[in-house]
Formats: sequence, C-alpha cells, structure tokens
Amino acid sequence: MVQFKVLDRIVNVDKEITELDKFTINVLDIVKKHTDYVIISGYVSIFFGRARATEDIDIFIRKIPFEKFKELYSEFIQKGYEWTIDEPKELYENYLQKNTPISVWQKDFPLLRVEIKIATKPSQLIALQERIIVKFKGHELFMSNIESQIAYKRYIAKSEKDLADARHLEIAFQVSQEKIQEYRKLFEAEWKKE
Amino acid sequence: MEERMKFVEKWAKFVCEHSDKEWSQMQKVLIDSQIQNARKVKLTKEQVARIFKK
Repeated sequence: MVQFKVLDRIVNVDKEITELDKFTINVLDIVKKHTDYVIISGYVSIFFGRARATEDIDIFIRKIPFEKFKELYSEFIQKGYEWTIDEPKELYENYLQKNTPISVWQKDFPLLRVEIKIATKPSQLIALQERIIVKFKGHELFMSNIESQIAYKRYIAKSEKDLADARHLEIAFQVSQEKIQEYRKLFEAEWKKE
Repeated sequence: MEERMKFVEKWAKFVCEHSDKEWSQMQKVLIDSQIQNARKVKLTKEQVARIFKK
C-alpha cells in the first residue's frame, strides 16, 4: 500500500486533472499573486482521491489592505470572473472585514465557486503557517496540513460527509495520531470560547 | 452510515494500492460529469443575484 507522503511540507501528485482542479488552479494562481492562501475543507480530500465532487473550494487568506484587495478583485473581473457583490469597497468592508466569506466564480457559472475568508483565529493563522505545498502539473497549490484537516472534520464539523473526508485522508496519508490530537485540542479550545 | 463508511475505506485503500493515474481516471469521470451537468443549468443574472448576492 503506497500512501501519499508529505516530505518537508511538499507532496508531489501525478494524477489526471479534473475540471474542478482546473478551476481551482486558475483561481488560486491569481490569488497567490496578491496574498498568501491555504485551501481548507472538502477539496483537500477530493484532490487526494475522495470519490465525490463539491461546489465550493474554501480558502483562508492573510489579512490584506483594501488597495491590495482591489487589485485582486480587478484582476478577477478582467479575467472573466464575478464576485458576491460588484462593489469592491463594500465587499471588503461589509464582508471580508466582518469575517463573512466572499465568493468568486467564472462568469455565468456560479455553481462552482471559491469561498474566501480572512484568517483571524489562531487555528486559521496556524493553517496558513503550516500549509503544505502540493506540486501538480507544473503548479503549486497550498493546502491545509492533513492532520489539521482530519481533526477539524472529525471533532468539530462532524457531518457524515466530514467524517468520511477525515477517514479518507487518514487512510490515504501517513499521518501522526499525536498531531491529530494536538489539533483537536486547539480547535476544541477555540470552539468552547465561542 | 456504516455501509457508506466501509465504501469510503475501500476506495481510500484502492487509491493507495493503485497508481495516481489509475484511480484518478475513475475519479475524473465522476467529478467532470457532475460539473458538466451543472454547466447545463443556465442561470440568469437575476437568479445568480438572488442566490449569491445580497
């Protein structure tokens, strides 16, 4: 049995590229020019083989000033994407700054979106700091640490889909149970505070 | 739930026991067909606004 291995935070993958991967790569190649990001949630499990699709790819980004966000916003518009609302200032102040996710999608196809939130909680900042680099078809995708994904899905999110995603990752990767429990403590402490 | 989880485990083991090319060809069929079907749903700008925009 050959599991995926993360070596020095890098995983090399040589799989077939799906429509979902193409969309994700295109969007994130733009995002990374303007700020750091980390992919969290279902797409991580799907990328590494889980047999399901999704309609949104969730990412955290590092806090950015409005001017920088405006550049990010404009590049997407120029390249044929649409945003949750058309006014960048409102999007930044009333959504992003207030911790409400914003979405971006290819014009006329909103059924597949990237959902963006600013990382604010310690666990979210750690996700950015400890992100892994997935090398795939000449691109680099930055994804959440696998143990962190498993802990969040198994102990916090806990839906049937999340439990299945966690189990898939646990089998497909060489993981440290000790690390999973460390992340569990971090997530549970944050959730108790809320 | 238990049956579904068993399938998830079997599939994850299949992913480990086969080359990336092999499992991903199957996964690609599943994912691409769902996206292609979704593309057939033509939403008007008003519908998009109602669903996603404030």
